[in-house]
Amino acid sequence: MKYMVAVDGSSHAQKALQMAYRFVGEGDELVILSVGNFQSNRLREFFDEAGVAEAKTKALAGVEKLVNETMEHAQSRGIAKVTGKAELGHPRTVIVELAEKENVDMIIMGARGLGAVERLVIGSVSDYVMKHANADVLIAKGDIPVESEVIVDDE
Amino acid sequence: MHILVAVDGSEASAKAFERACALATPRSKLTLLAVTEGAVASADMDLAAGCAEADYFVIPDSARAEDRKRTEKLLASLAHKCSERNITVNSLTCEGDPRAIICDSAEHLHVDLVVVGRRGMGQAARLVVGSVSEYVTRHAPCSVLTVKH
Repeated sequence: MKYMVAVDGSSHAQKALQMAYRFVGEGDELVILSVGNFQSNRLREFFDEAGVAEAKTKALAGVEKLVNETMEHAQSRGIAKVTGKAELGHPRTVIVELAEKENVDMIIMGARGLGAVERLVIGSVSDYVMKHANADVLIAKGDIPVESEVIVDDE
Repeated sequence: MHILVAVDGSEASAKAFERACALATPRSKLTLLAVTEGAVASADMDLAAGCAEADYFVIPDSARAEDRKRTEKLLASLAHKCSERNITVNSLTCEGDPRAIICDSAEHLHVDLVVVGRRGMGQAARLVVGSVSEYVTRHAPCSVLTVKH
């Protein structure tokens, strides 16, 4: 099976990663995706082209750093087939389109992200992906179960 | 991990069940939850059936009994599939609004993951007020997996 986890550095994304670790098994593939919400048109109101290009490079570097760190974490958990995708754009569209392009079986993501309003039970990106993705979608929230320890019988 | 699967005899929920079984490990526990309609159903739940004018409609006892029998058969067959795969399984039937019941059950049974089938994305599906999978994804106290058709 091919799993894709969408991360953004938030605690919610951490939950998604924890859930992924519970399910990804031998032979499964894990794609780590992070999408930097970069909209050049807005920036053009304040900066010239050179400024926008610089901002874009910095944004992508930040996203790549997060993806690489997450990949290392996944590999340290023993997952063999891990790939990373660092993208810039509209997170909700990129997540759905990339999942389709990569033939992902299941997208795992947090209920909310970094920028979300606390009182929302589910953020707009997760809501959109849940409705439009062509894959199964797991929204991670609440308490994530930890791998239970072996309980030694008291004789 | 305690996984709750909402089943209703539909193809979508059959896929959800398959997915839940695929994710279960020898240490997981599966709870199959079937929700049937109660004696009085809110018209909100079934606009497509043309009941928009009444506030509610009453379901005759005979229909409910048939529903219950059909549900019991479904649960038995699914539980059997679980046993064949050595998956620990519980079955539960409730009457009423599936959205609220699934979420309440997830809370009371300390479920770690709810698995539901996703409705098809066609126009007709959109007419029904509030899809079950969307409501559950928003309101369940735990993670929710929506399985595509």
